[in-house]
Amino acid sequence: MTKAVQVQNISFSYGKQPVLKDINFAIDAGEMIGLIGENGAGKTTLLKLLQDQLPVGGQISIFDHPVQDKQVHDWIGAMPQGDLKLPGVTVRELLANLSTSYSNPADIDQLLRDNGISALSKKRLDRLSGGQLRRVTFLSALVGQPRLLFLNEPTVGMDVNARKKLWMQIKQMQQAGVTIIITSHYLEELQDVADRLLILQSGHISFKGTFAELQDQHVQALFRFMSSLSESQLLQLPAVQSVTRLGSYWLLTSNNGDQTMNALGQYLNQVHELTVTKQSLSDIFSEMMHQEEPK
Amino acid sequence: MRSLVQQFKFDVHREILRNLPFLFFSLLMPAGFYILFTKVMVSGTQSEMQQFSGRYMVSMIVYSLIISAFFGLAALLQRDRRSGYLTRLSQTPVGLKAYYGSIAMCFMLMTVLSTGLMFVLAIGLNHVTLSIGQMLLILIVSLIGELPLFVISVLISRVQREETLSVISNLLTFPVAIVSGLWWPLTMLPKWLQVVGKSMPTYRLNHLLNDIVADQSVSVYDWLVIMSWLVIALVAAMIWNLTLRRWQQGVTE
Repeated sequence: MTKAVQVQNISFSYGKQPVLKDINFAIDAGEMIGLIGENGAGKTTLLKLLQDQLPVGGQISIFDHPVQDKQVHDWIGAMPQGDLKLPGVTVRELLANLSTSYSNPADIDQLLRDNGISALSKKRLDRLSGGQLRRVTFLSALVGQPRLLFLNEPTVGMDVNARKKLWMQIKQMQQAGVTIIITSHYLEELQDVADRLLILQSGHISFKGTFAELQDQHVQALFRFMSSLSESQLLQLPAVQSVTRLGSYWLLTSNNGDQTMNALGQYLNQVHELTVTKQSLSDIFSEMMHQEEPK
Repeated sequence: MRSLVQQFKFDVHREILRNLPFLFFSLLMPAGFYILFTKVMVSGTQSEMQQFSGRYMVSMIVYSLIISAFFGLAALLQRDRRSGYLTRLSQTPVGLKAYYGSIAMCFMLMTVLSTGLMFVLAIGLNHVTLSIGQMLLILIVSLIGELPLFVISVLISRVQREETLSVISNLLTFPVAIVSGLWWPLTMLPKWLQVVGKSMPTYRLNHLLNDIVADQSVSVYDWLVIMSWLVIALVAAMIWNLTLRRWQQGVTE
């Protein structure tokens, strides 16, 4: 499998302030990766390094070429975090302006049609709504027909329908073979589209893998039930991490819900009104961020 | 070359043809001042009025250049950076070369427009006598003489906040115009301020252009001061870029 991105031993500091420390990862061609981390974790800096926007310490290759190669820029499309709100410029003019820099530019009218915003073609950028502007900014990343696409918070400011449409389109692009790296705060949305996840924490990669692997490693199940069992009996159940009394209910957390459930099954006649809930991705992420920083 | 031409077309549309603040402040306002001070609030003999019309034409050309640089150009560069447009362009295979080339050409076009308008007013309304050669020379000297303003604008556009840039632009434009003797004679200012005024590139440019209008030989000293400002501004810009790059290059491997 061709590697779209290979990153080896990347470290980066702004002055004396370290931002990224010894980053290593690889992305296969055609993969879609979610890059997440708290504000200030180094996501934007990492994206800039991957786009040759900052001098790099370490090695980055894009489709087996050093990121500094000029032709690499021709393969990359990037959607910035901010919106391209230029006064006095129409949607079509902006996209046409950016497309002239690429050797294989997209047909702008076709691009607008495919994205259902032909009607905005002659509208000035400073007269668009936030969601419309975000959509145009997204299209600005596609004008060079990229093989590798960076999307920084693509759905910020969009309503639910527009977000759905955009994710669908992003998925279609991946199916067409485009490699995509997305940063987003909407983790549940990322789960629906991304193949793998990279979590940045204080300049380190604290997790890389699939969503299923993340959940296997970190998910906690929460059991709530009424029972005559004692606290010490409950604590002896496999994978149980904590037991708390809440009125007439027991609250029990487990890092392996299946194991605990099987064991609890032995006491079914003593367990009533049982509910089991699993942590959401956002809960896991939030918990990871509040754990001690990796050394 | 194709990229430069495309970028230039794009920038002319947004920065000149569809930019009302530019059209008003850089073209109409100096033109309005010119009409006001040479047709309405003026007295003296015919010959004195003729001379004043020529001098004031030059003053308003220089004033227009200052406005275009400190308000037009600096604001444009800052806005393009803040909106992410510069970042987006820098991600393309062409990078920022075509952009900066086009911006310089736009700035020159603004100069041609404002100078041309002043010629039309001076000759049409006040019958100032200017040969084609003099007009061309005024244009060429203006284009070279404005270079320090161009570099200073690039420098001040680096400030992060829009409000800060607006304050800096105001603080630069009006005092510089006054101490350069563009609004009233320098002799009306205190002695120490006259010394400051005479060291300004805009005063020297005004002086050079007046020499051309009066058909006199131009002063080498004027050029020396303008070029010194250009060198100082370029060195400051280089130091700024170097500092920024060093700060970014603190890479721990």
